[in-house]
Amino acid sequence: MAFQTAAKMAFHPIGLTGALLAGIMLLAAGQSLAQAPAVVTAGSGAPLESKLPERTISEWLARMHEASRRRAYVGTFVVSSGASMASSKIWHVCDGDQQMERVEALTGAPRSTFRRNDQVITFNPDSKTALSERRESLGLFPSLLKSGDTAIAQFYAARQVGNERVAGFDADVVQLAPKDGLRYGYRVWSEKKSGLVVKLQTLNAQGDVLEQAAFSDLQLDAPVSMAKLTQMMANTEGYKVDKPDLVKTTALAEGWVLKNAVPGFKPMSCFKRVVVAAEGATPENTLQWIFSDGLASVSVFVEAFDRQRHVQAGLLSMGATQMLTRRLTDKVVDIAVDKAADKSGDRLSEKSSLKSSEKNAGWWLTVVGEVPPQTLTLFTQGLERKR
Amino acid sequence: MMNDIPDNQKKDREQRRALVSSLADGQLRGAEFARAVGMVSDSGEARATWHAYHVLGDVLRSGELAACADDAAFVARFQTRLQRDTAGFAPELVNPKNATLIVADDVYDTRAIGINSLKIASANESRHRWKLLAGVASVAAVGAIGWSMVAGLGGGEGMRKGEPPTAAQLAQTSAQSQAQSQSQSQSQSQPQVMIRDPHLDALLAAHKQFGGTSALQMPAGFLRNATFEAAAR
Repeated sequence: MAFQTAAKMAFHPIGLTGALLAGIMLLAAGQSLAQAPAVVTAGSGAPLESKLPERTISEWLARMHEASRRRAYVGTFVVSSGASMASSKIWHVCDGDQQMERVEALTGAPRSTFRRNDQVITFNPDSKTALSERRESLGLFPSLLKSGDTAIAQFYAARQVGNERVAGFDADVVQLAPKDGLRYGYRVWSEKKSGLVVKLQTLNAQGDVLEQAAFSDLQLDAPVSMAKLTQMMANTEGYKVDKPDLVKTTALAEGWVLKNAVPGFKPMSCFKRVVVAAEGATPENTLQWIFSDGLASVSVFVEAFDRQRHVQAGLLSMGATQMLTRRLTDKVVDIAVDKAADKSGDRLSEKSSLKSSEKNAGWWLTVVGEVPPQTLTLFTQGLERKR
Repeated sequence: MMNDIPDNQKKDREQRRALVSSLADGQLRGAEFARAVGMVSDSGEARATWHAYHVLGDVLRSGELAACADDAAFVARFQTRLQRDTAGFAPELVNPKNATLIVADDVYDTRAIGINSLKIASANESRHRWKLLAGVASVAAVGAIGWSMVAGLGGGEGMRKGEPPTAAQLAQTSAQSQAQSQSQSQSQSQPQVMIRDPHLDALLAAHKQFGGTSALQMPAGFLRNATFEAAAR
């Protein structure tokens, strides 16, 4: 009802158009909804392999990871998030400890990403710029499992739910179900012989697919030349090579603590980085504090509050990625969100908190992660200023 | 005779609309064409009809053409409505100055937003568009559509009284509230508010760069990010 009124209001000058537009939008929303169940039903009907001993979640993950370290392949990779879809051509090759990858985007602006182990460079031919970065998280994973860290098993359970064919290969369908409501579940298609992940879905508590990625075609053990990829990766001629402006730090050194830890999520690293939203925009100093439960990750960004820019407190969603923004003052009171949550709230206390926040503009908090909104809320509630 | 007048007027109006429709479709020639053009020039009502048919046609052809320029009346109504509906909100949020600024800046976006959701359902695009589930922006910038979603952020029981729920409580109730918020966001079958903000995209890119601290990162997560990443930089 609210929407109908809104549509009338917004499009009143041409009421018919407004109604028509609303109709089309409803239709569009309906279509995107209709896709989800079709995807969900796939994979549930296959028989269980009851004879084989079930692999533990660590065994599954180690197997999937090993596959990408031992096999060379070429394929087309498709990602569908919310109503958006993107695809890329992938080349992957490995040689002992070295792993190389080339990802050529087929949708959106042209770009090529090359990776050698944790070193990543992305070429943007349109702007003739390249971004060179070290993604240290890429190197973390093996130790995460080898250390016998049971954190993942504590918060997720693995169960084989069937067999399916993806991109022409038989695959085990493995469900990684969260044990609480603070994380999403995953459904992973792991190629039977190698273990390679050929399809991945992120699921919410109801089993709706929030996001999925899959090879639409795949050639295993393809002849990929590492020498050629190395040469292409190193060829930055004609490109302006940027590096992200990062300083490693600790949250405590920056005056922040997470008073109440969020179950399962451990701090991984912390950086001060310069974020440039757009060319010509004022660079902003932002603190990024990264947490992970082994499968999902959350970044907590803290910047100085800016009345001009920081007007959009709220919850945003894109596929499996959720983003929560709110203002933090010394009293850790968020006017906007509290107001939204409780319309009949105590106005007196809000006004007084407003006054106190005007003395100190406070901070702007942005929490991003592939986790349910309530997990982000816990992060915003647990964060506290220590000085 | 008195009773005939409204009927006549009605008939007349329908005829005029039919004529304008034909004109908009390019079906008129000669004298009829001249008559229709004259009518559209002289009559405000005919002009409005002409405009409406064009917008209709534009919307049917391409959503992007649907944004109407110079709709001062809309802005005025929006402001009035905004002020009325936001009565009791923190003064900072409904400062008329802010509201004017937001509306002036976003009036196109507000409309383009609906169109985005239209487009997005049919197009293969990897450009980032954040779906606004709840929050102030939905009140201020896109108050028209956002109102009913604000509750989505309210979430679980424990959040009401200003005393934050414990993690354990949240973990327990979250499955339920997740169910609520998800079903709310998905089954309302109303268009989601889409917003675009380069700053959010930059933060997302930063998150993907270092935040991909995941066992699924290799290989699927990396491929996913490299494939889906917006060409933000």
